[in-house]
Amino acid sequence: MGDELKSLVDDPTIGDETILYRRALWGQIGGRDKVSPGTIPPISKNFFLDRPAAVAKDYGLAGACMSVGLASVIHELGLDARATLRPELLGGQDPSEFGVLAVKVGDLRQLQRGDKEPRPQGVMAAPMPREPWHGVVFDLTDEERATSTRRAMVKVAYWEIPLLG
Amino acid sequence: MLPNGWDTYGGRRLDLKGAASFVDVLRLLAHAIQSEPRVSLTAHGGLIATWSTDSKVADVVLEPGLAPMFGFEDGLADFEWDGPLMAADPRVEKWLWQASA
Repeated sequence: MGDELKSLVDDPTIGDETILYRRALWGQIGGRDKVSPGTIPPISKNFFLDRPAAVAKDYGLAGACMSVGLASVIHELGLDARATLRPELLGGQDPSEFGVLAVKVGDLRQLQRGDKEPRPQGVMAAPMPREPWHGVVFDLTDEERATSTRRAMVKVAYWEIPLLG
Repeated sequence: MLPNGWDTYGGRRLDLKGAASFVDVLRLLAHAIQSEPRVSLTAHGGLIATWSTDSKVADVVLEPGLAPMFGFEDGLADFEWDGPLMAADPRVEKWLWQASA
């Protein structure tokens, strides 16, 4: 990794129809103990927290952003959303602690807060050695995604592989 | 304690000093809290306490080195509010009471 940080710039070659996958884990919503067995939890805004700018810098990225998997790249490799849950990507954690959310790029680019204020998100590829499909989503209006913006993301996301209580 | 990278996305481990302050914040709000929250880490190593009913969600967020924040959402009324947490704000008390019912 070079010293140069990669600027976060929305990549127009990533089409609006492209699907993005985002790992979600029970730990982000306080664990599974409060959910009845067999229940799928509602999608939480906690799943859309940005990687802090200081941490993003360690990955060569110039600002706060949220990691995703570009489904188009995953599919080109003959894989599906389960590829984002490979054990080597989970830091030794139990794969059953994870689910995968999906969201369409166009929905993020046109994102609006509850009060209809536009909060467009940008997306760009940021391949990593073990995740060639890795990309990032970033807020084009705020330095770090605000709570109201994450709440709006909940409304356009859906479970691809649900967390199961 | 969860290590750095606990969320597989580089999330910071719990800021212990902040955790103690978080408990103090919840104590200030205790009179308006009817149920146990779900508590989770933030990517910065802060804490989020969330209470929810079928239509209402309230959360208290404390990030390391920052003032506590409060958020409320009423899905039925299509209403949401976010801002600094003022424990004496009667709206905060009401919303917390409703979401923790």
